[in-house]
Amino acid sequence: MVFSSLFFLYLFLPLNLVVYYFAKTTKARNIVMLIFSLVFYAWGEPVYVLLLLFMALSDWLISLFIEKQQPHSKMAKLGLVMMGVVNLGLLGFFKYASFVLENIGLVTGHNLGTLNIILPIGISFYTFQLISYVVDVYRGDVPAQKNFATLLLYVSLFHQCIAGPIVRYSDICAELENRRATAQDVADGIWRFCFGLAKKAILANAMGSIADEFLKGENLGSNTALALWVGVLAYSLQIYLDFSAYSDMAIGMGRMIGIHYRENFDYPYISRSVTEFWRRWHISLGSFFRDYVYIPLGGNRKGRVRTYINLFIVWALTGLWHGASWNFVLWGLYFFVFIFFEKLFLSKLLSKDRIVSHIYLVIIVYFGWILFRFENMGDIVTVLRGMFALNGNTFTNFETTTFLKSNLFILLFCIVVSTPIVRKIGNLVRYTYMNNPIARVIYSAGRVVIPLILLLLSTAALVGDSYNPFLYFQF
Amino acid sequence: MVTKEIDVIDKSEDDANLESNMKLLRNLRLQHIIDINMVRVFVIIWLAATILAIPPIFRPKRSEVEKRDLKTFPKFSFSSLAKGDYFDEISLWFSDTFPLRDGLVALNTKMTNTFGINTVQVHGQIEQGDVIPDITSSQEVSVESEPETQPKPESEPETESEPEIEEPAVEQLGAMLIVDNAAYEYYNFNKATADKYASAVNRAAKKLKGKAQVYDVVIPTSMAITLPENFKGNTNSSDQQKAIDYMYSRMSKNVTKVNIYSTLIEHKDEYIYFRTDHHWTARGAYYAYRDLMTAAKKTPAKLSAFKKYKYKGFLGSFYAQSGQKASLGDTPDYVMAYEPTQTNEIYTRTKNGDHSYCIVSDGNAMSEANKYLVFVGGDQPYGVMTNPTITDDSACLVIKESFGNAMVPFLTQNYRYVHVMDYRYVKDVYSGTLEEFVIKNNIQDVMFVNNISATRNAALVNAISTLVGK
Repeated sequence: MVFSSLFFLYLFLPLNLVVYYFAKTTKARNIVMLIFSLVFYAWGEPVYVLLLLFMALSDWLISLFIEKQQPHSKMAKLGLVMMGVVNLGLLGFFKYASFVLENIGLVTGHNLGTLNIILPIGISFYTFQLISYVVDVYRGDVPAQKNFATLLLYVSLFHQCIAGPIVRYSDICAELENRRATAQDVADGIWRFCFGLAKKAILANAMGSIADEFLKGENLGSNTALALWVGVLAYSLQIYLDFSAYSDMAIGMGRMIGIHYRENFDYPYISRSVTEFWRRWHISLGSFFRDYVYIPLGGNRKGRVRTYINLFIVWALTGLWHGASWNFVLWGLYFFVFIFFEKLFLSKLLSKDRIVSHIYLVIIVYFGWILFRFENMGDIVTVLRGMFALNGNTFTNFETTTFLKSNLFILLFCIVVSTPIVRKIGNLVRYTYMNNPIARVIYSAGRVVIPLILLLLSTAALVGDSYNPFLYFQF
Repeated sequence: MVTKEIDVIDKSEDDANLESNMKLLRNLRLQHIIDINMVRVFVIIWLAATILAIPPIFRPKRSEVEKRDLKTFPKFSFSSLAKGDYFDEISLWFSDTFPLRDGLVALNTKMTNTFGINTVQVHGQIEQGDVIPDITSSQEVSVESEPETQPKPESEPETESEPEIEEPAVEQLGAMLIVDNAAYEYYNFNKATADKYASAVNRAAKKLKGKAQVYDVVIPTSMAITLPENFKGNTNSSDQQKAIDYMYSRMSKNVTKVNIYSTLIEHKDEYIYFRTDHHWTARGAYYAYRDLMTAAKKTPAKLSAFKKYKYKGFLGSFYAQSGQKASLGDTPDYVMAYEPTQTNEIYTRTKNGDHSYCIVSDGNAMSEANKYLVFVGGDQPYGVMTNPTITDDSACLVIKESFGNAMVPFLTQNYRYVHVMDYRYVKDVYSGTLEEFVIKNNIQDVMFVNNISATRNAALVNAISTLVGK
């Protein structure tokens, strides 16, 4: 099930919230959330829900085992190894086995056949949540959860189970046991959810259709240069809007029931260095790799060379996490190169000029999305050549111009939405309303009406639009 | 944030500060009241919508706008459950039959129309057409005087040398332009293929000389005729009038060339092309029939001489190709069909044996996408219609692709026997030569009725060429 489906919006979520509010104790409410979460997961993956249960159960037992041992003792380490074998083994099997076989085949020249494994939805997200939980228990940062159902709720909670954010157990364990949603929580949650929904159903899908039109594969070489430039721009916007919308909806739904997830995106496109971009983009993934890969490897404490090796490993893995294909690895390492140079000398230069540094970042990220979108190296080269009219393609034609025109306003609007301008205007109204009666009326009316309008328009978009794939499902 | 502000209040001591902090507190209270009301209003409306959305009685079973039956609730099976299909189907059913579906679709269309300057849209990748050579009078004369020794066009030899290659002869819809609620197919002139088409018709005329008169009708598509004037010439579509004139200039004087271009232009404000489908309407086909009969020195029948049927809710190939674009889907076409009063039967021969179809079938029984099939049973390899009220042994043969389907019923008014061959499939049921067929059936008039898109499609022209023979 996806959030941006009518079934979710007009049956699953309202039913969930109604039952939730009739259950009075946190314990009962947790049972409600758990049942709904398992149904949510099983809805798309009736078989793989067992995998989710198995992994949660294993990690629950392992965490209890680790807690009984002396901290950092051999036995505790053994527990950690077991956890790694189970989680990384299953993730590796389901996500990367075909990829590995294919590459072994390419290297050795022996065709090992193909595995027909369907990727369990959200496995990359919930596996990382479980890993972070067990490691935190090992480090003594959090006590092991005694109640399996509560741990299962943490990983399976439908708000974030299948497309993030990668929530840390330590961030929400207190709220899992005991929570209260204030009126402000619920109101903010509704507000946030509706914005996320509209961002996905209206904006991200619109960008997706532009990207698909301008970057369509069958005639990549003859696409006009303008089409390719605009197509990659639309794709850049789509991927941000789509993914951050999913996090918005998760955060909003959390707020509605008094769980506070951390922000996952912080207007990444306004960054002024690659380092900054990755502090603002998919924050929960970046911090996972920082806390559970980079720092355990020694971080920057073991000298320059080791620091760069560690960074290289982190970025190769970050790329690979996004998909079992070389282009994703390349995409991760592409960022590594820039971070490497930023660490060496570039950040000092960049900090001198706000505009130049911003242009630098936008250009890097923009071309990065080409690596991300096209799995085939030949296509990547074709697109890059085509952007500079080196495929014998023209700059534009009536048809490209026509299609661009028919999407011009929404494209500009999405660029604006990717910056904090809208939020700043909102805050301006919000803080002037204190003293100004007209602003007060505008604010009050807006607070009530805007979420409803967004819900209505999103509903119309979902009914009218058969085009509704969720990009991040493949991860 | 809340605690911070209260801290400030606790610590503040002077009156001015106190006053401003009281204001803050009032605002916090106000914020709280606004929030509570916001939640109430939202929850009431959302739950009301949910309650109305769930029960099947409020769910439409059919979309009037889309003219189709909506999804039904899936049947349960364990295998579909295990694969997850069952739940997917339920979700699909839920969204497909969402209450007020048509209204919400319309709202969405209104919204997406604000996304840009949106009256024109392009779908698909456009192929660049060849330059259409100018017709010089000397060239025309030379071709007419020695059609048999036509110089081969420079680019042709390769395709010409291997015409028997078994490319499937399928019509392919190219890129299209959508202007408001009508779509138009792009046409890219292909010189080698056009030449080959003309030479195939020439060969037919040569072989049938003294046995039957050959006619040729190249049908322009709506891109050239009904596209609003301000777009003509702007698009990357080849000039169809010029292309037709060129092909006709390549045909010998033994071929009677029926140029319907200007006739269709005269009638361009009438409903002569579908907006959501690449075919012409029966009315468009009728005007072509009239020109054809005039060229054959026969009297065309009046449209009023036929029984008229109107089948609403046709959403054809353009609509499907556009990904069911709402601007097209909101305003479906209708099919007008004209049934001869004397007969409504066409005997067809197919791979699977002989079969009788109606010349005009019941379009209401056909799905919204297939209503063009009302004419002569669709694309049958071969068929023949007999008008029992005509007592001479007049007979004609039409060699056509699907565009011809809308036209051939009219010919029953002028010929006792109307033979119809679909050159794409006729080889499945007839292995003799064209010449033998004409002699055997005592055919006086052989008519090539082909839409211009077919003349740029190498596979289709190969099929025509093969039927005519070397």
